[in-house]
Amino acid sequence: MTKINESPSRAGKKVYLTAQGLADAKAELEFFKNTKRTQVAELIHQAREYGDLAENSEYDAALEEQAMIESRISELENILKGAKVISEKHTEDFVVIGSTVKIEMDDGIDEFTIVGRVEADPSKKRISNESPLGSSLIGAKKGEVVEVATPIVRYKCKVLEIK
Amino acid sequence: MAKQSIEEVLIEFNPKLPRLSVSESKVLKFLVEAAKLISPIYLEQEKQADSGLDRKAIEEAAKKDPTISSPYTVVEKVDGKLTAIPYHVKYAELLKPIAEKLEEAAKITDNKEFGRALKLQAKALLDGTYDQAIAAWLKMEPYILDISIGPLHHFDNQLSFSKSSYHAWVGVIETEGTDRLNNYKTITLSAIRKALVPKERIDPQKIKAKVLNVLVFSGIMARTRFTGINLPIDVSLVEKYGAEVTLFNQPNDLRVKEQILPTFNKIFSKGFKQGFSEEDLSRGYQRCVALHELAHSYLYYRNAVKNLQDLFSSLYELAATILGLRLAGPLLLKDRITNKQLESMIVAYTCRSFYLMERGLGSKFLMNYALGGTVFINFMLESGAIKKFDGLISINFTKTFVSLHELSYILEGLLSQGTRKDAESFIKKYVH
Repeated sequence: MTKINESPSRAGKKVYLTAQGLADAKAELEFFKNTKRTQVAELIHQAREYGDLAENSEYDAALEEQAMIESRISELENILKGAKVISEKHTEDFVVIGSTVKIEMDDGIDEFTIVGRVEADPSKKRISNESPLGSSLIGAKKGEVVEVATPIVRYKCKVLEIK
Repeated sequence: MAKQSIEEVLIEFNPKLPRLSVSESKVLKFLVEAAKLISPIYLEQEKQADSGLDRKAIEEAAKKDPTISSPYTVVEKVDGKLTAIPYHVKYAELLKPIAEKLEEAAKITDNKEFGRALKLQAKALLDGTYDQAIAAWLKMEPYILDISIGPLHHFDNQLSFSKSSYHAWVGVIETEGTDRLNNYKTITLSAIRKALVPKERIDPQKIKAKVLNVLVFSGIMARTRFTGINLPIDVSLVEKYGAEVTLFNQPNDLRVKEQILPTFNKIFSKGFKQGFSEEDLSRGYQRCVALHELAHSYLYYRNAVKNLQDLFSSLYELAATILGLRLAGPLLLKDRITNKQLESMIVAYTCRSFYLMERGLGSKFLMNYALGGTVFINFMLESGAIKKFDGLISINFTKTFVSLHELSYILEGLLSQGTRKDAESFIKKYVH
């Protein structure tokens, strides 16, 4: 299952997700609401029974876990509120969110899929559409050379293939 | 040998460790004891290196007797003739208790593969079958305990061939750091990077990576206080078995504290310094080391050692650092690191280079790195990426990145097809 991440500062904005990503986010939300909430409530209840809450490390740990669960639930709810599913069928004429692209850049050849920010994981070849590389490639055609730049680095990137 | 000398080649750290099982704790104790016993052997090697044998005579004798140029022999004059004695023979008495400790650890470990590698390592110490032990360690699945012990192929002398130095480290895997390093590894090494001269480059099939909380550094590791390492260095072994990158947390902290921060405070203006916290520099330096070690994977040129001879190590290490910084570019474009993190890497390496320029050119152990650091600084000054004004330094990060590309291209050219003469004239241009 893909770990769907969302920064709090981006809450409420449009979130691009693959169909699988959307299903994963829904499943995770359900799991957190229906299973994890109950589990942590039980842990808190048990920890209370150990007595003295001021010096009760089990109680503190359970409260911490509860806070993490609630934060994740809120994050997932925000993601699903702004979710826009990326069509599985897309054009190969130019790069769109969901395209798998093969590029040549900085003496190397690389291939990755452009996804929404919450599903991005460069180590799994999924690059965010909002990253400098992803945003520069959106709209590029096969054979086109685009410039990718940040305040420090500047590269020429050639689109070799779009799938 | 004075007590102080032993202390110089043995450093113990006291890291916070994860919860270990009873058997793991016992194994760890044996490993630390074994590692500590390496330091007297290394001191013997240092004495041997100062024995006054003529460098040219050794190189001449090596043409007739190849065992003289083996990384695992001591060269001595016997009856007026230069003779090579294998390490495992020369240091047999000192090695025996170390092998016994490894055997003891092998008996009680719950991890069969680890036990097997320990046994092979113990055997290698006593009979010189190092390649079998190297293969066993490289084949091993990740495990929480880690040791490297024995002769380390390291270029710390100025012969045209190198002699291995005895070393040991013992550590416990730091999971979070290891995951992060492996994440960088996957992103960086999964792109197919073109070789400057493809037929000359070896592309290892498997690169392992780990970050350690270190308990002990012994022998050459304590002398050099490496913050990361990529082994083996011998390309023929890399071709057969792959390689492994290891980063060391506590030595990294030590280097940041002793070298990076004092230099940072000295060479930059107050305004510039406000932009970087101690944490930024510490993480920046570790990231720099991580990408340096990973970049070695793209620089295994078959004949580089033979072609560049005694200048190989300086250029190889610098090439890896410069390529490592370049590899941070794609990480930035893929949102894996931020502009600030890349800047911190450049600042940290600039500090290290200034430190080396001041302190390393006269040191046997830092010389290779000092040459590289000096080339880096002077190359950047020449291109205008770094400027000196009123004794203070300013960095133009955009220009630095362009210059890194140029420097990286020159260095890879030297590694792939340069001669010693080419290397010498390049170094002379930047090291005055």
